[in-house]
Formats: sequence, C-alpha cells, structure tokens
Amino acid sequence: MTGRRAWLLIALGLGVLAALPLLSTGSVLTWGFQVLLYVALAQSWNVLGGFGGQVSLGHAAFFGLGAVVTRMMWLSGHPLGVALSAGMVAATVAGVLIGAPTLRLRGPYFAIGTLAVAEILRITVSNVFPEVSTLSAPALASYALAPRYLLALMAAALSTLVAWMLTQTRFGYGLAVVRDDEAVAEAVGVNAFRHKLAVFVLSSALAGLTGGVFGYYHVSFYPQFAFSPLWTFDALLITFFGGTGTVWGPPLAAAVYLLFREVLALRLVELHVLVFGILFVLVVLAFPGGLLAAWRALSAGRVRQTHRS
Amino acid sequence: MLLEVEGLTKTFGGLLAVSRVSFRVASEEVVGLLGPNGSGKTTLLNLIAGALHPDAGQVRLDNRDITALPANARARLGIARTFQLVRTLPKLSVLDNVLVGRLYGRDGSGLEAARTESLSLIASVGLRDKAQSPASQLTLTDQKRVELARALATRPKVLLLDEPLGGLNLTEVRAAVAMLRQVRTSGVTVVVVEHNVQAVRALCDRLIVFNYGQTVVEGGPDEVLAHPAVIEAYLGKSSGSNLAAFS
Amino acid sequence: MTSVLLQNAVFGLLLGGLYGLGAVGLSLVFGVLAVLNVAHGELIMLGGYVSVWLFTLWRVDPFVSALVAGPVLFLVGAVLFRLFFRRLVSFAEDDRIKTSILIGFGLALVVQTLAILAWGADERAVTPPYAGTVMTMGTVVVPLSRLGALGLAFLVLGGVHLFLTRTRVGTALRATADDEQGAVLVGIPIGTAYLRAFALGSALAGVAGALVSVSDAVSPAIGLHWTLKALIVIVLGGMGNIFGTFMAGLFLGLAESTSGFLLGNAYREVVGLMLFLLVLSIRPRGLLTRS
Repeated sequence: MTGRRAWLLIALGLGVLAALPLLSTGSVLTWGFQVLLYVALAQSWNVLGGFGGQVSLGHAAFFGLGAVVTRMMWLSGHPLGVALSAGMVAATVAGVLIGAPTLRLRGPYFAIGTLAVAEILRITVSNVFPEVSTLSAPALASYALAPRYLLALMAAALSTLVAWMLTQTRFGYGLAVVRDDEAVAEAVGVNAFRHKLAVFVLSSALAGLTGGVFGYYHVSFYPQFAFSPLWTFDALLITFFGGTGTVWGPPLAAAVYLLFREVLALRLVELHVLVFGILFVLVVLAFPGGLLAAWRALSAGRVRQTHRS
Repeated sequence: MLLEVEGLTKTFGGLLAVSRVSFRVASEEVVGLLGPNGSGKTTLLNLIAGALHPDAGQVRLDNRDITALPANARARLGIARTFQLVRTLPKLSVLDNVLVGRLYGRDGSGLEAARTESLSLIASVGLRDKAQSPASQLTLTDQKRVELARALATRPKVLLLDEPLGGLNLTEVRAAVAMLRQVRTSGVTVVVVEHNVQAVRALCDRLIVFNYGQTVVEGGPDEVLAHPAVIEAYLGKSSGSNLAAFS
Repeated sequence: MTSVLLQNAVFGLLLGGLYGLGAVGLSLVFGVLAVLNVAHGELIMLGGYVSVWLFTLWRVDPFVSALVAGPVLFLVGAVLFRLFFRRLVSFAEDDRIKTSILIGFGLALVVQTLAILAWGADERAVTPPYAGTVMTMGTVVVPLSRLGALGLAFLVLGGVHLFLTRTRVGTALRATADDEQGAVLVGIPIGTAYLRAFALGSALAGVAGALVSVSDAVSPAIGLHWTLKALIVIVLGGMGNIFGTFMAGLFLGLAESTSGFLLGNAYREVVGLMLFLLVLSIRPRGLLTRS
C-alpha cells in the first residue's frame, strides 16, 4: 500500500467512525465507545510495554488518576476541557514521580514495583474517597452519549498516532534499541534511562486522558474502581493479543476483545475473561507476535501455497 | 593526545581486574591490546567506553576528563565500540541497526540524511544487498560487519574493537583485516583487543601487553612480540591457540 | 495503651506467620527456576477452597484439610508446570522472568474466573467448633485456632528446611538454585528438579491457603492480595532463605498491625507496600538476592 492510499484509508476510517453518532444510538454507540476506550487504554500501555519494552503492571494508577481528577474537576463546575487537561497533567506528574524510581529497578522488580505503587494508590483512594460518585439529576437529564463517544475516538486516535510516531521518529528508533539491548543503546549514544522515563511519562499522560474520558462517561462508580488492576490486565491482554510494539495490533484486538465480551456475556459474564486469559497465555507462549503476526504468517503461508500450485 | 588513560583501577568483589593502568593514544594511531584471557583487556575497553566505572584513575578524551560521564555521553563525544560477543539487535533490520548510530552518535543527522549515510556505510562493509534483512538472519561475520558499521556510524574519534576477528574462519579473517585497514586509512583512531598476532602485527602501530591487569610491555609490534616477557605471559598462563599464533 | 499495642502485636505476629508460609513457596520457585509465578496467590486461594470444601461436605477440621491441600496443590502445580512453565526453561534468565510474570498473570485471571464459575464470588468461611476459643495471658487475648495455624506453619517450614538440607532431592534443588549450569554438569536432572520445586512451592501455597481459611474468609478474589504479601515478604527477607522469609513474614505482620494501630486500620496495607518500595529503592535487586 502506498503512503498516500494508506492516509486516505485512515482519513476515511476516522470519518466513518466520527459519523457513527449520526447513524446510530444506544447499544451500538455504547459498544463503539467501549472499543475506542479500550483502544486508547491498550495503546497507552503498548507505547510503554510494547515499544519501550518496560512491562509495567501499574498502568491502572494513571488511568485512575485521570478518571478521578477529571471527574472531580468536571463535577465541581470546571469546563470539560479544563477537567480533562487537569486529569492528564495529574497522570503526567505522577508518571515522572513514579517512573523515575521504579525504572531503576532491575529484573522482575520493575513489574512488581509498579504493581505495588498502583495498589498503594488504589487503597489510599478507597480510604480517602469511599463514597460512590454519581452524576447529579440535572447532569443525568442532559446526559448524551455522542460527545463521550467522540472524546473516546479522539483519545484512541491520539494514542494510536503516538504509537505510529514511535515507528517514524529518532526517539522511536532510540527507544527500540533501548528495548532490545540497553548496553548497545548506551554505546551508540542513546541515554537509556532518559528514553525509558520519557516513554513512561508519555504512556502515563495517555492513560490519564483515557481515564478522564472514562470519568466523564460513567454515570456512577466508586473512585477506587478506576484504580482496579483489571484496567492494567485488560490493557496487557489486548496488547499482547494484538501484538506488542505494533501500531494496528491493539486496535484490532480491542475490537475483537469487546466483540467476544458482548457475545460471551450473553451466556456468562465471566466467560470472556476465561477465554481471553487462556488465549493470552497461549499467545505469550506460542505466538509472541500476537494476532497481527499470526495473520501475516498465515497469509504469507497461503501466498506461498498458491505460488506453488 | 587524543585518548589518555591514567592510573585506571577496577576490582570486582576483591578481584583486581585492572590495576593502575596508564597509556596514551595519539590521533590516527592504531594501538593493539594483547594479553592472555582474563588479563583485563575487555574490562579496560569497558572502562574507556563508560560501560564500567573505575575505582580509581582517569580517562581523558581531547584533554577533557570524561571519567564521570556515562557511556552514552562518551559515545556522543566520539568513543565507539564493538562487543566481544557480537551484539547486533536481531529483531531490527541491518539498516535500523546502523541507523541508530548515525541518529544518536557524534553530530547525529536528521532521519533522511542518516538513512542515506547509513546505507553508504552498510555498502562500504559489503552488506548493500542485506540492508533490509533482519540482523538475526546474518552469519557471524556479517553481524560483525553490522557492528562495525554501527560503530562507524557514530563518527567516532576513537574506535574500540573487542576481538573483531574472534570466531571467524581464515577467509573471513582476511576480508575483515582488509576492512580494518580501510578504517585505518580513513583516519579513525583505533584501540583493538585481538588474539590473532599476525593480524595485530599487520594492523597496529603500537602494542601494549597486559597480564594480571597490569601493563607488561609496550612498543612497536616487532619489538613487543619478540619480548621474552610477552612470550612468557602467553606460554605461562594461556592455552594452545595463542601458542600457535606465535609460531 | 501498652496492652492494646501488645494485643495488636500478637495479632500481627499470628497473621505474619501466614505471610511467611505464603511467601516461602514463591521464594523457592523463584530461587530454583528463576520463574516468578504471580499466580501464587491464586494457588493459596485454591488451598483455601480445599479446606472450605472438606469442611462443608464432611466437617473436616481445617488443620487436617491443610495436610490434604498440600498434596492436592502439589499435583496442580505439577500440571501447571508441565503445561505452561516447562517451556520457559530454555529461555535466558531475563526473558524467563519477564515471560513467567506474563504467564502467571494470565493464569491468575483464568484460575480466579474458574473459581468464580465453580464456587461463586461469595466469601466462604470455615467454622470449626473451637472457633472463637481464646487463651488469655494477662490482658492479651490469643485465639487458639490462629495460634495453631502459626504452629503448623512453623512445623511445615521446619520440614521443608530438613527436606532441603538433609535429603538428596532437596540438595539437588538447592544446587540448582545456586548454580544452574553447575547442577547440569554434576548430572542433576534439571527438568525434574524444576518440576519438583514448582510442585513443592505450589503445595506450600496449598497448606498456606488451608490455614488462611482457619481465620479468614476465602473468596476467588483473594489471590492478588496474597501474591502481593508474598512478594513484599520475599523482598524483605531475601530469596531462597526459608527462615529469613518466615521472619520477614512475622515482621510484615507486626509492622502492619502496629501501623494499623497508630495510623488507622485503613492504611495498614499501604505500610507494607511502602516498606517494599523503600527496600527496593535502596537495593534495586532486593535485600538478599540470587547472585
């Protein structure tokens, strides 16, 4: 596919997605919102874990911060744009404060350390804000899905754009080398720690934005729910399923994941976690490239076969 | 002096790996470091490159003390290296392996210029046709070429080579020596650790011999290789492969 | 004031014994295999359900169930190793640790969901006739069942210690933990050593789970909680050191109960995690680590 055709296709896709609120309402739009929310969530993890190679288990902390800060600012009367920015800033600052010490940890301790930080935040939030946060009656009366959907689309597009930029920029190349071999990175002039910290903060900011969209969307939730490790788990599941360090794997996997969830939930709510948990383990063990690589391998195999016949 | 090493000392948990080593390398000089396995040569390269930091002593580049600088800063000042066990990035293409050196090294270029320059470097090490292949598909000798191109891509003032001929067969050694000669004529200063004495004799202006982390002898290749202490250092401690090199 | 503090300390130590036992299995597995099984807490949860089941069906005493949960989880561990973790053996250590975390994390989700499907999401408790019986020492009250759990935990750890130091198989495990390549060279069948270590670690999780059911409710969601406790204890006590791990467990229990008393119960959990991060920031590889 040539560059121009690819761009045209992407613009067309975005146009269709943006027009969806005009064409449909209710359950389809809700489903669309969720897909886009999970695209943004997974992509924000993919930037750090896939492109940066830093397997963080504390991603929920930044999603939660974004959600809670945005929600509080918005409900206390600030304009939505200000509220979302505040949520993103909070997550970004937390990214610096948490990333700087945890990225110095070696071996398994980075994963565990980030998990520990996220749990500290979750417990503290549940202590400080034990009450459920519900929209007021007037807010509920004027509640519209379309703007939420469009915000989710924006977050998904932005995080995917960031992922794509990592395949096109000097910073992205440096990061790939840090991911694959830190000693080589240092030897050619790449400051490994600075690259890791930068991508950690970038990932945190995107997670904060995604959390903010969630905080604006949800009618009623306990603040600690936004810090639940399930958000981290979903992000990992989708990214690994789609292919870590790929631009289009996570969006594809997010759609498949939520489709599965929709269909399986008709039978049993927990079933999709079971199915995806097993798929996740299989992918990690047998197909480290994820869905995209599997599909490429399969289609390449088919091409070779047709050539032979 | 381009590179100066003064009183470098490094211990690993009580084991003295490098002990008060001092030497100087002039611009455009090619210096060979010799010595039996475990004599501290690779540690010394790591100390110069900044992958390790010394317990005592100084490293100076262009009369500037760089002892406290991390490896990445030294690379940007003009110290490049290859690794004893080849370290290409298997998942990346040959081009991307080299590109990163041009992007981040001394006066790094923008993406487009870096790509062009990297491709010409890749061609100069004889891998023009393999520029887009993943590095994992290359043979050892080709991987060593990628490493060399990557190091050169940083536009080094000093190039540190750690056993560039290790693991190569006779034909490959000949090709590699020819390539290193070219590097030499391009004006890059080289510090090379190598066991192949014939190659060392052909390439180096000066040799420094180590044993037990200390300098034993220093001088021109012919003079040093005939020195009794050198022969003893090899005969005394090391295996047959080095003996063969002397015969 | 002092008596309340003392009472808190006693409860902390009683809980800490379980933390220690819960962590030893994980530590053993990491020490021998360089595999970090973050589904360890889920194995503890399964051990808890063994006890709940036996009690619900036949009123089996949880202390007896603990001796059943061990072998049951030994088998579960052996199966999990064969299915998933065996493949990691050929990986380089860094990759092995990273991949094992991911697999453990997927397994945790699967096991937790299976538990919800099998037993529902509700909390279950075991109430033997002596539940609530206490021993009074001055002003301090000691629940007998918890004291028994601490005692059994200590006995089990003593047994594991003897196994590792006094038997051929145990010595082989320690040798593998010490130096994998060396172990291969002296002819230790490394695959078998891995299998045994993983199964034994899982069995210890099973015993710990059954003992948890003595004093705490069991539900499918408790896994992460216990995994985190085990990780904190391991970092505090050092990898592969059984009594160090047990002591670190006691210390964590004590630190939690004391801080719960001083700062309010809501923050007792945070203190352990803070301790963990503090130790890691001083020693990025943990207090005592595999060399």
